[in-house]
Amino acid sequence: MSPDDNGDGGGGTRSGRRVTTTFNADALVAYSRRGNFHSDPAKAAALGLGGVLAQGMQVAGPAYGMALEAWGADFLATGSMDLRFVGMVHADETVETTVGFHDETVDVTVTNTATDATAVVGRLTKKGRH
Amino acid sequence: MEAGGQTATDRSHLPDRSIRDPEAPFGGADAGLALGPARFTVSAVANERYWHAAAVDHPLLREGYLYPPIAANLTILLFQTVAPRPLLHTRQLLRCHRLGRVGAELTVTGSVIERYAKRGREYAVIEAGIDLADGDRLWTSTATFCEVAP
Repeated sequence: MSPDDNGDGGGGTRSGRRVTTTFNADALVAYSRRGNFHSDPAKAAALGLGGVLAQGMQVAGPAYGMALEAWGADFLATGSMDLRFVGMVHADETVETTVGFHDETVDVTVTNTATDATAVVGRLTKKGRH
Repeated sequence: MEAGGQTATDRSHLPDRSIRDPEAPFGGADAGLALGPARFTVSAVANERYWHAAAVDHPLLREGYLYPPIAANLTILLFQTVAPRPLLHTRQLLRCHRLGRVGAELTVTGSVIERYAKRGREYAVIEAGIDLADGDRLWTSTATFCEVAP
């Protein structure tokens, strides 16, 4: 994978960031292990998926990482997330992750640049309700 | 998401569940069905594999704190004890309650909390609690799945 920080986003939030990431086949296998449609081209083909797919939570990783960088242990210990996986990301496709930070939340949108379709949308919260 | 990357190399801790109806969506797992317990130990190597493959890096993770999104994979593994076909993960809610360390034994229990159909597809919502050995709740995971339509 190759994260590439593209700098500031903005747009009505306190601050924003945008990064691009490419998840290659090795990263998909590392995250999902072997023997499933995330890592085995034959299994993906049998299901008509057009190639191995990244897990949604893997695609959301860069957004999680930016929140972790901003909030540290608080987020790791008591954070929460609500993410919807609405589009597929195949191996070697590049995604653009846009995050908008508010006081204690961050809005997340991940777009697959190969298809120009949204892959992940949702929100991360520094301290969730428990 | 299928067999979403078992975090323990030894799957013997998975409960031996019988599939209710192999032909039915999700093996016939209806709302109210209890799942687990299943026990896992996330090694330092497995923990790093997850955060590194997700393009995440942070000193706390390098120090051996567990990467919370692993909870989603544990939820998938729990549901796959009763749902035999490949699953697509469509939504994930996760609440973290405390920090966890690599090497801790985790016990995962849960249930099917909702089943519904939308646009001709069947969905299942699974809620799973991931607990530390002393019984303290580490993570609460709520995941929605549909089956892959070949």
